Amino acid sequence: MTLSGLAIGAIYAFIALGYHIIFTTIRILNFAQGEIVMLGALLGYTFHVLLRFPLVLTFFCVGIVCSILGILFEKVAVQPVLKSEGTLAWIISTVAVGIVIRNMANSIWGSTPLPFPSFFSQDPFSFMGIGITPQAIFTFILAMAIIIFLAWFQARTILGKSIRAVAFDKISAELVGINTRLIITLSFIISFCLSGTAGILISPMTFAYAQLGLPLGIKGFAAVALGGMGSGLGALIGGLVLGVAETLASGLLWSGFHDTIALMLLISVLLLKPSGLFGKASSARY
Amino acid sequence: MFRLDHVWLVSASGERILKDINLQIKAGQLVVLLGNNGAGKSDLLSLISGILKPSEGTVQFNGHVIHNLAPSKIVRAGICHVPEGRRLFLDQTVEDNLIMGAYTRLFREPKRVIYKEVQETLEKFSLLKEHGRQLAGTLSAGELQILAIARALMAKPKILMLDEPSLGLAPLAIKEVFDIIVELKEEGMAILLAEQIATYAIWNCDYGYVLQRGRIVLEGKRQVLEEKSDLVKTYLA
Amino acid sequence: MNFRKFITPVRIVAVTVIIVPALIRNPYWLNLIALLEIYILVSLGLSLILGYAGQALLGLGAVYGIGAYTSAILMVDYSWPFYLALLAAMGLAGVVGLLLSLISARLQGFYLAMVTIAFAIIFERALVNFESVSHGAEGLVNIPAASLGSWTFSPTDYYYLIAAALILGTWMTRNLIESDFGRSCLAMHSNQSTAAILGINTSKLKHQVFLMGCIFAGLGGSLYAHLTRYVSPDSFSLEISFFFSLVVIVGGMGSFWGPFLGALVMLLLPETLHVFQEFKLLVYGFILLICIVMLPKGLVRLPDRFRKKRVAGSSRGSVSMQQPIVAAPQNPVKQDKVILRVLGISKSFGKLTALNDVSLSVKEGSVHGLIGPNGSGKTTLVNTISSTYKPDGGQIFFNDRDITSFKPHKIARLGIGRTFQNISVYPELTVLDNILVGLHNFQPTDTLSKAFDLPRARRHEEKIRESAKKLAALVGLEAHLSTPAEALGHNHKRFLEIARALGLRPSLILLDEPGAGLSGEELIYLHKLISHIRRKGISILLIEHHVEFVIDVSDFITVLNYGVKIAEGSPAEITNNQDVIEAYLGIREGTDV
Repeated sequence: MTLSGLAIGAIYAFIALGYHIIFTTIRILNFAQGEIVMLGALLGYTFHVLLRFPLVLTFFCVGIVCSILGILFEKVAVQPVLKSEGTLAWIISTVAVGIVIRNMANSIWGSTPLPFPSFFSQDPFSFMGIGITPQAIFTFILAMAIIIFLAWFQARTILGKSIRAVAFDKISAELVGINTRLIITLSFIISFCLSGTAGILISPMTFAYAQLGLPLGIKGFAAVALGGMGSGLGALIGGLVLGVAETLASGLLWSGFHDTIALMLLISVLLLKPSGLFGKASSARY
Repeated sequence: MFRLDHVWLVSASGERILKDINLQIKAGQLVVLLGNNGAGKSDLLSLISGILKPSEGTVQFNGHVIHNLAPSKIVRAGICHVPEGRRLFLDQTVEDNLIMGAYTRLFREPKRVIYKEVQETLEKFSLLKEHGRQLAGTLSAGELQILAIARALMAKPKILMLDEPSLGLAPLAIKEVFDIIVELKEEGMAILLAEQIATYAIWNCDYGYVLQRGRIVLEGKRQVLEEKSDLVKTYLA
Repeated sequence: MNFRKFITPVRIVAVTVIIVPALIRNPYWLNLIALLEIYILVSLGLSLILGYAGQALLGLGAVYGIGAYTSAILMVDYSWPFYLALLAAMGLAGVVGLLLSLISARLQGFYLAMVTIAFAIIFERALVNFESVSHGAEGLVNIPAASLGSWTFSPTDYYYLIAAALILGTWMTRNLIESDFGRSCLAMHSNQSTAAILGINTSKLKHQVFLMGCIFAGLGGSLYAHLTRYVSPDSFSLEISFFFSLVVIVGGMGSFWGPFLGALVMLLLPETLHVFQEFKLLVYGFILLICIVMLPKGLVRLPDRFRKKRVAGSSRGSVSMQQPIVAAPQNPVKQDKVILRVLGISKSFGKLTALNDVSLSVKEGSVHGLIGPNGSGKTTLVNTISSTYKPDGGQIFFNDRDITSFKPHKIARLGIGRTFQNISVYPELTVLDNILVGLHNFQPTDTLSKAFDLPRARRHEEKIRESAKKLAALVGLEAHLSTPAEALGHNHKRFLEIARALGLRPSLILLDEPGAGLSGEELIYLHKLISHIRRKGISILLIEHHVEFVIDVSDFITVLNYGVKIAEGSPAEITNNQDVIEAYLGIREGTDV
C-alpha cells in the first residue's frame, strides 16, 4: 500500500514542482495550477480515448498544448499584474483564470467523470510479499525519471543554469545578458507541462473531470509548502510524504475525509514552521 | 565612443537623483566617477546598463542610442556592469559563474572555445584558480570581487563599468583588484570606475568626474584632479 | 452650508434601503435586494479585513456558512428562539474569526490565502460528512421564519430587519474607518513593519478586525438562512468565498463605497444578463481579469480615469520657512543622564558581518551624530534599536531599561520614534492622515467607542486633529493637509516623516538620513527643526552623510566603518581624527597622492 502511496506521491511532487518553478523565478503562487492538471487529464482523455492516439503521442500533444497555455497565461494573467503595486492582485488574477478554465472545461467536457484506461493491466502481482500494480510502478518510475531529468537539466545545461540565475537574482541575470522575460516564459512552459503530465498520470486513478483541479491544486500546494517553497528537493519530498500519508490515512479514517488529510497536514506544518521542512527562515523579525 | 547628454533621472517619488549629466568615455580610457554615498554614482551606472531608464537625455554608444534597450541587449552591445555588492550567482560554482558571464557568446561561438577561455581565466586570476569547482558563496569578499570582474570580462565587453569595487574589501585585496584594473586599462579596455575612496581611483585615471547630490561639480584630466585634491576632498566629505 | 452636513454616506445608505419596499412590490425583486443587502453586509466585514487591513482571508464563505448553519440548526433541531439563534451565530462566527486571526499572525500573503481557502474546502466537506449535525448533503429545509415571541416576521418585516442590520453595519464601519482604527489598518496594510515601529500593535489590530469582520459575516449568514429558509452545503462552497473576495477587490480595496459598488456589479449584473446564467462563473472570471488589468484599484476609482489625476497644490518646490521655530522656549537643565545605551551590539546576515561589538551612549537632550562610509552599518544599528532586527549579541538600554527583546510597537510606545532612509510615508494617505497615524497612541480610546462613535472617541479625534495640524505647520506642510503623500515632492516627504514621528511624543527620535536629497536652503531648515526638537527636550540620534551638517548640529559624534566603531568624540575631535579621514577619503595625511 505504501508503494501505491509513493506513486501518488510522485504525481503530487510533479504538481508541487510546477508551483515551485514559477515561484522561484517570479515569486508568485499560481492559483490556477490545479486547473492545468485537470486540463492535462481531460486533454489526455480526448487524445487517447476519443481520438485513439497512442499513449506516447498523447503525452506529446498534451505537452504542446500546455506549452502554448503557459505562454498565454504568462502574457495575459501574470505580466500585467506584476506591474501593479498591490500584493494581492496576482492572487485574484490567477484565481480568475482558474475559474475561467474550470468553467470552460465544464462546458466542453461536461461534468461526468470520464474514465481513463490504465496504461497496464490492473492485476496486482506479488513482489517480495507486497501486492502492487504495474500501473503504480510505471507511474512512479516515469515520474522520478522526469524529476531526475529536470534536476540534471537545471544543474548541467546552460538554459537550466539561466533559470537558476534568474531565480537567484533577476537583475544580476540581466546584467550577464540573460533575457529574463524569455526565461520566465520558459519556466511557465516547464511548469505547465509538468502539471499537464501529472493530469494524465493521475486520471486512471481518479478519472478526468472538470472539478479535479481544485483538490489537486490544493494538494500540490500542500506538498510544496510542506517541503519549502524555494526548494525543488522539498517539493519532491513533500509530494512523496503527502502521497504516503494520504494512502495510509485512508485506511484509518472514514473515506469522506481522506483527502482533507492534505489540508490538515498543510495547516499544521505551516503553523509550526512557515518556511516548510527545507525552507530557510528569514532573519528579519517582523 | 560613449556619451551621456543632458541626462536627468527622477525617481517615482519625485526625487531628482541625477541632474543634467554630461559624460564621455573614449576607447582605452580609465574614467573615474567620484562621489560619496547618495551622490548618484550607482544610479548613473544602472542607468547606463539599462536597469534604470533616464527621465530625460540620451545615452549613446558608437552613435547608437541605447538608453531605451533592455539590460540584456545593452550587454550584447558591449557594455558590462559589475554592480555594487557584486551580485554573483552564489548558488553556482565559480566556473559556472564564468560560463554564465559569457552568456551572450554562448549561442554564437562553440562551447569548447568558451570552456577553454574559462580555464585560461582561472589561470590568469591566481586567486580563483583553486576554487574552480567551489560554490561562489564560499569565497571571500576579495575573491568575489575578482570573480565578478572576471565574469564581466568573459562577455568581451568594450566598456567595463565597476561600482565601488573596493567596498567591503581589506586593503590588500583592494590593491590586488586595482592592479587588475590598471592592467586591463593598459590592455586597451575602456573602464568607468565609480568610487568613494579618492586615492586609488585618481592615481591611474585618464579623466574624472566628481558627483555631488546628482550633479557633476568638477571634472578634468588627472593632473587637474590632483591639483585640486583638496577641493575634491571637500566634495567627498 | 449646513445642508451638506446632513448628507452623510451612512444616511444615503439608510434612506436608500428604507424606501426600497415602497418602490418595489414584486416579491422576487424584493427578495433579491434583501439578498444583496446581506451580501453587502458580509462584504463590509470582509472589506475591513481584506480591503483595509490587507489580510488575505479568501475563505470567508466558511464563516458565513457557520453563521447560517448555526442559526438554522439551533432553530430546527433545538427549537431555540430566533434572536438567540442569531446571537449564537454571531458569537460562534466571532470565535472562529479570532482563531483565524491567530493563524494570520503566523502566516502572511498567499500562505494565509491558501490556508483560508483550504479551511473553506474542509468546511464544505465537513458539512457533507458530519450528517448527524449538519443533515448532510440535503441540508436543512423548512427553517422557520424569523420571529419574536409569538409574532412572526412577514417578508416585508424581515426586509426591514435586514435593512436595519445593514444600516447598523454601515454606520459602525464608517465610524471605524474614519477613526484611528481605519488609519491603523491602512498603515498596517501598506507596510506592516513601519506600522509596528509607529506603535501600532499589529497582532491586537488583527484580532479586532477579524473579530469584527467575522461577526458581520456570521450575522449575514444567519439572516440568509432565515431569508431563503433552506441551507445546504452547495451554497457555502468555495464559490461564495471567492464571490465575497471579488466584491471587495473589484469594488475597490480600502474604500467605503467599494463593497457597495462591487456587490451591485457582481450580483445584479448576472441577474440582468440572463443569457449568462449558465456561465455565471465564467463571467465572474472575465470581469475579474479585466478589472485587474484596467482598474487595479477597483471600480471606485473609475471617476479618476476620466478626471486627470492632478492634485491641486502638488508641491514640488522648496519647503516654506516658518519662523515659529525660533520662538520655542529653551528646555530646562541638560543633565548628563544617558537616555539610550547601546552595549556591544553585533549583527550578521549570513557571512556578512554588519555590526561587530558596537557600543554608544546618547545623552538626554543631546543631538548624537552617527556617521560612516557606505556599508558601515549605521542603518543596521538603527534597525536593531527599533527592533526590526534582532541582534546576535549585545544589549540596548532605554532609560536604564533593557529593551533588546521588546517588540517594535512596544519600543515606540516607550517613546522612541524614527524616520527611514528610504522614504516610508504612506503614499495613499493624505498628509494629515499620515501624521494622524503617528498620533494614534496619544491618549487612545478603545475600539468599541470608535465603532459606536461615542463622545469620548469624538473628543479624542478632535484633539489629535488639532495636534496634527500643528505638527504639519511645524514642518511647513499646513497648506497640503489633504494632499495624498505620494503627490508630495521628495523633500516634503522627508519632513512629513519627521512630523509623523513626532506624533508619538517621543523622548528619543532616530533620524535616518533626513537630509538626503535636500537643497542647501532646506538643510538650513532641517537644522532649525532639529534644534527646535532638541530644545523641547527630545534626544536625537542622527545618521547623515552630509558630514558638515552633522558636525554643525551634533553635540557628540560616533563614527562607524565596516560595522566597527572607529572613533567617537566632539565634532572638533572628529574633524581632526586621522582614522576618520582615512575611512572617508582613503588618504592618510602626509602620504603622497
